[in-house]
Amino acid sequence: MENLLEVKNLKVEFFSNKSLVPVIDGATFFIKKDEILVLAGESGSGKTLTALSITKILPNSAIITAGSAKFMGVDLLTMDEKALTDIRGREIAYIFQEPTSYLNPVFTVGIQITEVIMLHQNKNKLDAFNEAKELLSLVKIKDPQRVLSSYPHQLSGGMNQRVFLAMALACKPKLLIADEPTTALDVTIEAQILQLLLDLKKTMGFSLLFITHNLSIAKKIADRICVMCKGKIVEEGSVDKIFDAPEHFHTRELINAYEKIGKL
Amino acid sequence: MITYIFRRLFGLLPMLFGITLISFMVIKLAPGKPVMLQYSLNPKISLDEIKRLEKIEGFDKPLYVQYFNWLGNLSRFNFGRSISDGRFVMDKIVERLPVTLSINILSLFLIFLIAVPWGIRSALKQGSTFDRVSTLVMFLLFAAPTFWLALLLMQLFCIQFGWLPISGITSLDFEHFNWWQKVFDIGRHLFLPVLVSGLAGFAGICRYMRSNMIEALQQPYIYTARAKGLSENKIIYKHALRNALLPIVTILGLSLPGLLGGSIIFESIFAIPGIGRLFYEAAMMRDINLIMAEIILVAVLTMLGNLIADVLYAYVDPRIRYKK
Repeated sequence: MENLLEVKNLKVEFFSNKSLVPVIDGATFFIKKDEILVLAGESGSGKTLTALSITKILPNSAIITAGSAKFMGVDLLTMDEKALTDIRGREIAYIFQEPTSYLNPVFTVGIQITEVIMLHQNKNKLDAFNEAKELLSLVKIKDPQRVLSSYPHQLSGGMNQRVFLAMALACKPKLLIADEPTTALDVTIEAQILQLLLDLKKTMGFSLLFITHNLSIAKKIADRICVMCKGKIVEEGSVDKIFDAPEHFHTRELINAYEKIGKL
Repeated sequence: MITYIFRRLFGLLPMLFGITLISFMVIKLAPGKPVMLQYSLNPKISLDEIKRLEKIEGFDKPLYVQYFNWLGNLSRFNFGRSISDGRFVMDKIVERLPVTLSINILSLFLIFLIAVPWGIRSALKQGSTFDRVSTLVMFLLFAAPTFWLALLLMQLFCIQFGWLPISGITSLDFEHFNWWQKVFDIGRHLFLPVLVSGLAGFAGICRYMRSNMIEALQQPYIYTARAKGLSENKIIYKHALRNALLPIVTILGLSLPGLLGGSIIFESIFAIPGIGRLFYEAAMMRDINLIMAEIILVAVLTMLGNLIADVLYAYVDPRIRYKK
């Protein structure tokens, strides 16, 4: 099976007091077609930055100083901005942690979904609107018409995450990057969204890079797990390997933490 | 929305009543009698004559009667006559209005036209030489007192270079000009007043716009816009700008009282016959009816300005629009 995305030796540094502080220090991993790779690690280990680096949507103070991210054989990190905008949203899409604050508060859901459809698929407003409606039914929203004319603050967090998912999948991306998509949601909604994500993955056939600090989720959905610590990928392997024979100290720590909560 | 506006308007009435009561009392507490203007230069005036004058103006009645008489007139939009020259207060204000209004609308328009794009540019090039120099300039403008700046500019443009007229709004031979010359003449006279009245506000809006834009560009939804593959222009001018402009709308509403209130300082310096100077002169002459009319005018405008700011904000920000 060919690799959809190959990240090699990725190094991201932050400007701080005129010097550079590395936050991601040589991360290397790959995602195969149709695979779910879970990137696990504690807060601050660089998971989110890794995800943002792939299509270079980092904050201004962060710069990528080394490495490559080959997507279908082409390095995204050396690609020019214009070509990258074609990849973002079309080939590689994101969903984020807090859907409500990651949606623009002053535009309706409809505008925000149709925007990405019109941008990448050259459709007119009406067609885009109809497609947005279908997308919302796809993510199991019962009254798409109402949701489309709502503003994000009028919808619940779970609803907004569905909207976000619809927006991300609008152009049938080959890779979906989900950055802790359920962390801000409560447990029942979390289960629903995860199930939805897995169902959609089956029907639409995208690869999924799932970022979480929660190993119980990782255990349930992952094909493979990468454990990240202090900006490095410290361990990589199948779910069984990670849970049954963790090699790295940090992996054992994460598993212990997750088991401790289970015992409470 | 309409019912909301009406409800708010209705709610303003008690506040207006309070304002009239307090300002009326404060004015009455001020030293000196309002009719003094008519006899202070006349050493031969008798006590009876003073009493007669006071009776004509109704100042002999008890305070509460005076207040309700005045309030009654006010509710019929009758502000009474000016004590200094016996003309209707309303006429005197209306006569001064065009000058003050045109200067202030012009400067407000210029402020927003230039300050908003300037602030955006500053935000986008945060930390650049342009940004740092403009930050310095803005703080200087912000800190410089209006009268001082006005005098310096007068010294430079009117006396040193002799490019611009020093005061007033028309030249002496204005009557003999044709239409274009008249427009040009007024323009020359208004240039410095508009500039001076605009500069401080300009600096404020500019800084404000800059910080709003910087903040908007750091919001999570900007990452979403990027991740969607939008062009940098779309991200900045659609997703960030719309959010950054929200607070500016409030300022626009709040600047309403300033539009008509005029400025005592620069109208005095440039000898512009505007509302600000009318107010100043009225205060110096204890022209009670005129002072009260001006206070009410500014109070009403302030309240309306607040209301307009709220309504506009609700109109542009959906998060507020739907809050019950």
